[in-house]
Amino acid sequence: MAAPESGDGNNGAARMVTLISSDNTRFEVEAAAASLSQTLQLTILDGGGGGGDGIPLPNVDSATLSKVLEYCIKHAPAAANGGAPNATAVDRAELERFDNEFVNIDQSVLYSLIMAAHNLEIEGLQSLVAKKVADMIKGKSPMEIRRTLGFPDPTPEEQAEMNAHMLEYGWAYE
Amino acid sequence: MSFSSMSKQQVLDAGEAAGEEAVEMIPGLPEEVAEKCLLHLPFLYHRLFRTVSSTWNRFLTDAPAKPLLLPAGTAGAGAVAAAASVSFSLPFLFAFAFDPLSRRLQCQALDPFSRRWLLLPPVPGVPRPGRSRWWASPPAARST
Repeated sequence: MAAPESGDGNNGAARMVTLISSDNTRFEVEAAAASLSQTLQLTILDGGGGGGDGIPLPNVDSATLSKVLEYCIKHAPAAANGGAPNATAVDRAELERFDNEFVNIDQSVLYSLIMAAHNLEIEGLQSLVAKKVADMIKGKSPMEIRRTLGFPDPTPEEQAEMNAHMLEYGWAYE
Repeated sequence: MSFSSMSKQQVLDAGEAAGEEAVEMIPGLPEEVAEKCLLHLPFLYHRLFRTVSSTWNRFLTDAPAKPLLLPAGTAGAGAVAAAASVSFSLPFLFAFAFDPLSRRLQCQALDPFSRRWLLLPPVPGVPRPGRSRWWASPPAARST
């Protein structure tokens, strides 16, 4: 498993921390994985989350948190190696496969995930989910985009803008 | 009397609420999160995305376009290039290309997503071939 974080090389076994979701479910996870969150990292470096204490996460429900932790556990070893320099191509391909699979989820779950990644400041997850949202947008007409993202009906000005654009450039998007 | 003024107030409130909703960049997501999503959109289609809503238009029009220099040798032969992080996606490649037909320099942009080259409008103030010498073709090839 990953080498212990610098500054807490106190024992051989990986240090564990406990996270508590908004609905009071406790998750025990390696400190290295939880530390992918910038928000949690500080607390963990201060020695928080160990023993019976646990770190409460009032903004994240258990379904979302388990998904977030799935990501963190998968990505922790690569992150501990300082990104990708000595990761093999196979490792990278495996992570990529995992990522693609990981965001292949309902829009509502995706939104919960993006909010959690944002609140917990998990950079890799933030950009993974943001890319997925962008992928949902790509290749659609403005009206389809509005429908996909649940926009209210367009104002007359917005509708006129869209019509004018499609009239002029519609051929480019078929 | 008071009833009618109250309902008027309610109408105003409803109007304000609808107004706020319309300003949301992606319904259900806070603005800074939505911005991060929009930054991943391929630059080539920003013009299309700008028509999605007035908030998208405002954001994508002001989207940061910070030029950065490519490491030497990254650009293809004959291309003087700079990349811009117009979006988080992949860097957009800008190149000057010599067009043998018109014997002029053209500005082109490559969108790495769609692998399409876009011809950009001429750069204002770039001298025409006739007025500068360093890229002039041999006299034999010259025609008016």
